[in-house]
Amino acid sequence: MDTMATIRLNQKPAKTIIFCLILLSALSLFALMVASDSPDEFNRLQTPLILINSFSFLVLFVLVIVSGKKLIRDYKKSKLGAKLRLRMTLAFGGLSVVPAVVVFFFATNFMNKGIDVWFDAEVEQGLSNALTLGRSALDEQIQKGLLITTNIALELTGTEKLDQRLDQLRNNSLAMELLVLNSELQVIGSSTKRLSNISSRLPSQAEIQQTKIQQSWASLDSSTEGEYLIRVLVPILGFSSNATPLYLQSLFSVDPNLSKMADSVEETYARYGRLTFLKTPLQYSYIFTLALVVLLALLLAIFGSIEFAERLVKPIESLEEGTRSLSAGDAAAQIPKSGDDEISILVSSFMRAQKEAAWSDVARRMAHEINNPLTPIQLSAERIRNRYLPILGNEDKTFLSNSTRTIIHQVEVLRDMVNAFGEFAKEPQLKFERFDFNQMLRETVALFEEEKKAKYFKVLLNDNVLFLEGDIKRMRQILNNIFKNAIDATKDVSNPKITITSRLLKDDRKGYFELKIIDNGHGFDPIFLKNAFQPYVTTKTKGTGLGLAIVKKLVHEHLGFVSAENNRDQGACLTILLPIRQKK
Amino acid sequence: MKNKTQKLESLVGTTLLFLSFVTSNLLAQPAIPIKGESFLQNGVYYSNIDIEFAFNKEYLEALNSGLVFDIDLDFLVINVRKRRLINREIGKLTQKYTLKYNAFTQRYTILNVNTGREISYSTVASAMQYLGSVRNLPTIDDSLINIDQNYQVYLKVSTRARGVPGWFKALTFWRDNLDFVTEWIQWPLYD
Repeated sequence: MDTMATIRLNQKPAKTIIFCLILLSALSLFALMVASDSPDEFNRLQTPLILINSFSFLVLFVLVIVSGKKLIRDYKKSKLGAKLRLRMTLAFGGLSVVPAVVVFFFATNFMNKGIDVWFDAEVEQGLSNALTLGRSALDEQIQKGLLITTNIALELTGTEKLDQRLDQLRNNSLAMELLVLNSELQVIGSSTKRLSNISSRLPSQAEIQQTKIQQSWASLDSSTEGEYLIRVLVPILGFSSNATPLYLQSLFSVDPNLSKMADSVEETYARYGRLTFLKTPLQYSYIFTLALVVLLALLLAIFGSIEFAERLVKPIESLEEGTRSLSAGDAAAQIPKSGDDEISILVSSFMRAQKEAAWSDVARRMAHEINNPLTPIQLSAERIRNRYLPILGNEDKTFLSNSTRTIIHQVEVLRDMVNAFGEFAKEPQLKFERFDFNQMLRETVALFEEEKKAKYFKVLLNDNVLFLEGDIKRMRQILNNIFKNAIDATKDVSNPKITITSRLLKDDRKGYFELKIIDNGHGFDPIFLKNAFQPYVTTKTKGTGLGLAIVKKLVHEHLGFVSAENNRDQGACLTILLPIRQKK
Repeated sequence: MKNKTQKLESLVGTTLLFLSFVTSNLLAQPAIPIKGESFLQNGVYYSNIDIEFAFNKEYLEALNSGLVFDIDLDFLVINVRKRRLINREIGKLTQKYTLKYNAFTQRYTILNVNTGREISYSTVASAMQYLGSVRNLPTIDDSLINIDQNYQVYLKVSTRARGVPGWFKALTFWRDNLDFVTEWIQWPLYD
């Protein structure tokens, strides 16, 4: 079995899944759009949302491939409608691809330019200048610390009780910590008044070397809380007769306001640096998201166009099946109802016309074949009657008389039927002229009532509808058939009544008049109602089944419409719409 | 036949090129644990670890751009059991550091997240040296150890840059994406 055939995209579960995926993708894309307002939120949500969309993309991609393969296979097999489907898919797909690609290109371009603008070189220079400015502001404090430390170092010369002296000097200065150490980084003495997250670290050998060369060394230290410290290192000259050089390290706190501002500048600079570093990933990230959105939209458009083309072409496929059945001689073939759009209606009308043409052909053949032997039969029966009736005895005479009368009568019935067939099959040769329709209708009603010797009709005509354009003979035939049908329908009713109304139509039916024939008879059998105008459809024991079919044919020839329905309470209603003037 | 051989050759060539590209990226490791040793002192086992930190150009650019690096040292103490029994985890410890560059002070600050202590260096090499030489790290209490059994200390080092989109890391898994975890190294808790 062909695997392609096993995937039926029109099945309800598959459609539900597709709908859910589309909904999920739409929601996730919306969430992504909302999240993109905040880079942190964007980063957090992006991975799961992109996974969802990637999954939707893959499913849609598979569906498009499957549908596309099926379409191409149908096309290769020259299946009816496949060419149209392929063209429509290519047209719709092409129409969606071009704008999507253009939008993607421009959006990417604008987005990249927009991101580049954020990272303007002047902004970076400005931030760098702010940093330098901040450092300059602290330079004064560093110099002050250096001076204090140098003075303390001078005062330490010759000191014996080092720790006590250090405490004393620290208390008299702004220093938070004083540390005396040798070049091997061994601490000789210290004094501290603070506890800080910043380690009271020893200087490195490199810093000692720097101090040796420059006679001083100063730096800024910072903590994660945004606290800044000044660290100063100076040599202690001539501390004792011992030849080992000693060094004094002091720590000073920076003014909290300055610390705060320095921290703010540093944080802004760092944030800008991070953004600059992540600029390319950020651009990729946005482009990737945009590409995913565009691809999803494209796949949806292509899949939608394939589905849409398939639906649109379906009535044509039904038409093909119908015509094939008709060609095979199945005049009663039914067209499956495939929708209520214009194409479906057109196809239905076309099929009906084809079927009517087929029935006309049948009628014409039947009329021809039956009509030929009728005259010899009738003539033979009459000749037998004329020849033998005078010479037979009473008993045989009666028998022959009855038999030949039956033959002649049935031949008449058959001839009527043949005439009806002929009428139905006749090519339209209408002779349009203006006539007083109301008068014609009243005359017809009068003839029927006179013939039936009963008052059936209640005529409520609109006198504005006086003159119509139409073929008088055919119009009279329409009325005859309808009234005959209505009278037959009310045959078994105790109080038969046929109401005739007419009115002029307005709005979209302007130029038409409506004729309604409402009877209180047994109505249409619901099973036959929808085929009431089909040839040879009748519930009567005697009848050709052509009466209403001929009415419909004649009304259509007058560019009119006819419909039948059952009344709510009792009987049926026949509605005829006819144009007041025929189109030239 | 010749055509097939040519195709095979080009396939092998492409694969080798790809592999060399991938391995060259993988070989540029920002951290390599060199060795570790443990010793008992006052009822506690301590460890000394040597790690070689070598941030490449991209790592340094990221660090100097203001990205904060999380550096985790994950320790496991495992009781290695005989007769194919499953090894038992006795203790687990993570020593966390953050490394950042302060553009204002122009120094590299290391925060020991476990203790809250900070230290800064003027050069990245000094900072790396500090991070790479972990001394006297309390690893496990002697009371948890049975001297008759065999124990191994495992260590892996991971470096992660904060603020790099997760999905971007996922998409660039094959190259240096500022997210790295070393292999485990191990040493006996005692000889």
